[in-house]
Amino acid sequence: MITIDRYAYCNRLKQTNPMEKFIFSLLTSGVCLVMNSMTVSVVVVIMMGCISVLYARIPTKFYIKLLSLPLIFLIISVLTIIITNVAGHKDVLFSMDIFYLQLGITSSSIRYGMSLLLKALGVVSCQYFLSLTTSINDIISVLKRLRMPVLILELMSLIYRFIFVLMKIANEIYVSQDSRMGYARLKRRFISMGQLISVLFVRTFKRSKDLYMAMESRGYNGELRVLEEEYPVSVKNYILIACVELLLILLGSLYGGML
Amino acid sequence: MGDYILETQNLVFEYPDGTKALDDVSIKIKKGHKVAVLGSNGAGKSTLFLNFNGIFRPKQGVVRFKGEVVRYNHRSLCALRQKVGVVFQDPETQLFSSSVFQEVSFGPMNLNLHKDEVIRRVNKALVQTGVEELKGRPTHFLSHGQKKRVSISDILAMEPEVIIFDEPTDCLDPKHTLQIFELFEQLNQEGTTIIFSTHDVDLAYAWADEIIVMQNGRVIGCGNPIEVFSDNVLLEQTELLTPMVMDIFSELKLSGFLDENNEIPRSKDKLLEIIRNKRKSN
Repeated sequence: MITIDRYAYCNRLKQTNPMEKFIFSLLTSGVCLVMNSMTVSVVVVIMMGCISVLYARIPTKFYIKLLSLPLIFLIISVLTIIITNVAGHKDVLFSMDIFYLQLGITSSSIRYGMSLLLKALGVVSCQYFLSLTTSINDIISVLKRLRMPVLILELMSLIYRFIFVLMKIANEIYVSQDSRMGYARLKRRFISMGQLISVLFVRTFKRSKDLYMAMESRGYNGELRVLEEEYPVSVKNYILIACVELLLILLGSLYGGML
Repeated sequence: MGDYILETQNLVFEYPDGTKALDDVSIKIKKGHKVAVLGSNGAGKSTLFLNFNGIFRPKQGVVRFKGEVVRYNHRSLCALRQKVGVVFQDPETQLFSSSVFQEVSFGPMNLNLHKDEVIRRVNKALVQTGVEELKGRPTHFLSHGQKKRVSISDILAMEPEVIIFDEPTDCLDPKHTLQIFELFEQLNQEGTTIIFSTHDVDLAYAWADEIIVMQNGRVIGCGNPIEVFSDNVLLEQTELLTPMVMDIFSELKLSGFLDENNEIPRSKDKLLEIIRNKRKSN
């Protein structure tokens, strides 16, 4: 989580207009979902991986680790799709009788499962591209331009900021407890953790009160008005995005479903 | 009357739990002055500052800005907060945005300024506090000292007439303390009134035009630094230390090394100069 956040601020695509990155990621995942083609999904995974690793300079090892996180979930859920009741099917590859059920794998269920797995990976890689190259602030400013309700966006930005404030406080409390043997034995461990959570809760209230005061003293009157950072708009990038999407659609309609 | 930019008259403030944080505080702050507020923890310094800014509403008494009584309606408060800025002691409570640029732009944006003007002010404020290279960085990557300097830029960007600093040198290293005080000096030259609280008596003595000493919510002494630090009764009552420069100077006088007619020096450099001159004349 925190490492993703770190890369979002120091990658080579940081200075690219977030709107372009947002549109690229959204359109590509849209195409990947709609085209329903394994070829397109594989191309999307490879393309997004290449852009993130080679162009945005996200370390390969980290990227693969990140991509393998949802892979475990995906494989488990795809397994339940691949293994079906094969009674009456012709293309059965392997089957097993359990009571009255004939469970097994068919070649069409394998293909269906694979296409689902690749499609999900394709969309995940699009999301990773966005979250690895675009900071939350930039995403919020894009959403603002897309007329998302301001209240939600303000909440998003405050929550984001306070994740780090709370993490810091929690860490400080933990260290101070640990340095006084607060986590030495199991029983103490539970007591200390309970105290940490309750103190954190109380501190949060005080923090929010203090924050409100500090904002009020700077003329806050109900709306968080800040200046959005401006990025140069690149027509070249938009054309490039359009070309890539068209190519993907073409690829999908030519080799739809096949691999 | 027109000389005073901020005044309080018989100010009484109580927290909701009934603690009397300010008790009959009457002070006058001259326009363009540098005022240091001294006092131990819990003396009421921060509470006083928040009363100056209209965040806290006094139970009794009034706050005056440029001779006019502060009214607690929306318009009057907006006008006051535009002119009187407060830099909070803990930058972590003040910084709400995760982008340094957006954080600093919040104040000027609330003043309904034109976008170009906001950009100009934000950039200027970031340069003034020496954090311009942090502009693109998220707030949570900054060190405590950097956060402190960003929180100072927050207020500078609003270009107020009075800037109140609650312990400005808290968590800053000597180099940045010096830088911040050079900045204060520059702001003060441009006409900004500066009020700051500190525990550093040497700093207050060397730099302030006026010193206000607080204890238990009351103002128990005020005047120019030499007056305040020569008042032994006051110093004993508040357990304030005398500035080192003053101590050494009076010791030198007592021992007969310096004559009575020397003016009391305000800074270390001045004291050293007096000693060197004395040595030369011997």
